[in-house]
Amino acid sequence: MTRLPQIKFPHSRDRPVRKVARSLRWFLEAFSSQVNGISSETGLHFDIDKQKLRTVFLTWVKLFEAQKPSEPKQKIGYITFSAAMMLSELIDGNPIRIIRKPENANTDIPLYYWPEGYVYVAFCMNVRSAVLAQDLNIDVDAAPPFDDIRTWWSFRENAREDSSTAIGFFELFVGDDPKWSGPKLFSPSHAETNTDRMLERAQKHLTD
Amino acid sequence: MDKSRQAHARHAPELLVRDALRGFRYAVRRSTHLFANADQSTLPQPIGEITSRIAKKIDSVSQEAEYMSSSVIGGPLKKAALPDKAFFGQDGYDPNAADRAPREAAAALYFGLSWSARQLGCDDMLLSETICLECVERLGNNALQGSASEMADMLACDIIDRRAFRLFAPAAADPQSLRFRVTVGSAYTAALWFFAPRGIAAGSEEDLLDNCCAIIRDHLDRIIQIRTGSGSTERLFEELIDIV
Repeated sequence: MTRLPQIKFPHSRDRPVRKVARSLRWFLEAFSSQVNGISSETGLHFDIDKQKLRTVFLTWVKLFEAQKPSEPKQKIGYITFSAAMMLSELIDGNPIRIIRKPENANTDIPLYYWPEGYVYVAFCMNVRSAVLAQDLNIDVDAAPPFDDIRTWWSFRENAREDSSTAIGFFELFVGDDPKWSGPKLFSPSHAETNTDRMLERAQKHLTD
Repeated sequence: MDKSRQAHARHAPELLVRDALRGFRYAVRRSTHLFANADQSTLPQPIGEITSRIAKKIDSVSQEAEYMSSSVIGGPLKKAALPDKAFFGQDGYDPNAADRAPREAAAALYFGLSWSARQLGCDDMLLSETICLECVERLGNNALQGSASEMADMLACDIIDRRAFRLFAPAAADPQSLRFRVTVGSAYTAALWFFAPRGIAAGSEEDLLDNCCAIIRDHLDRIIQIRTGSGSTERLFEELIDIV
């Protein structure tokens, strides 16, 4: 497993991340923190379009509310699904733009190959892992495809053509089985299978 | 003017004077603007030139009168800037807090409304300081049992129904017109800003107002639809307060 880029989450008045992630203020500040964190570690500099970022959030929050399940086990699967939906909306709205990158940056590294996409994936994975850590006490990191440049070649090409494919790639990056057909529709059975796998991995991680 | 309005107006006669002068000046400016944009070649000279000079003179006199009234009265509402961050409590505006002077809240409301109107596409709306104060005072009279969403709903409806934006009648306006949308959008933005909880993230009041405006713009069609159907927007405020 790979460690995710650092992020500093904003104040939340003791609300759990699961809830406060649905607040526009929190989302804007958390996302900016992710961008700044990656900038200071890598020498990449980005410009953030706040208006586009607000639109991304407002579209995402409607999609989130529209399919929210009530079954407890499905709710766990919905954490990954809604983070993946956020990634799809970020790619669609594309609220950041790279304005400077280091000379001779190695584009065989996903971060330098597609900096904007990398920031979006890192942010969504960090929010997901914070929710899982708080709600289920599970520590999760990225799966091997997150570092695999060939996966990123395919990811960028597909996501630029159809941003909903980002949902399947997100599942790959977190170690789940991807669902490529109808990715924007939440499938409780698919989510439950992936939840079982995630819980097994977490159990194995604890006993190793 | 109805009796309740007369009763409130007695507490703030200087605001009424200012509103009247600003209304007069607004009307003059709009007429002058219309005249300046008209094709003066259609008027025989020297009538066109004389009329233009008269209009400009009236504008300058009305401007002077407004400035004089401000200096005499002392600028009734300090409405040109955002209120201090500490003005709003953890749960937004509290009309019952002992240190929340209605005039300070009315100034904040005036700022929020005029700022939102500009963001939503109108920078020439005339706002009444008197009615801003009345809306805030009514909140204080009814706030003891109200939740944040109830108070926000009451404030937004009051701003629209009591016509804080002067020289425009929302009830008779086309719901698709820009002025109608700006009036409703600004009222809902300011009300959401007033009652949004604070302490989430570290952004400024200006950021918060920006966010409220973006949320209301996104929900404006739904708000207008609910209002047109005579429904209440209190439940909607509950949802919106959660996502600010």
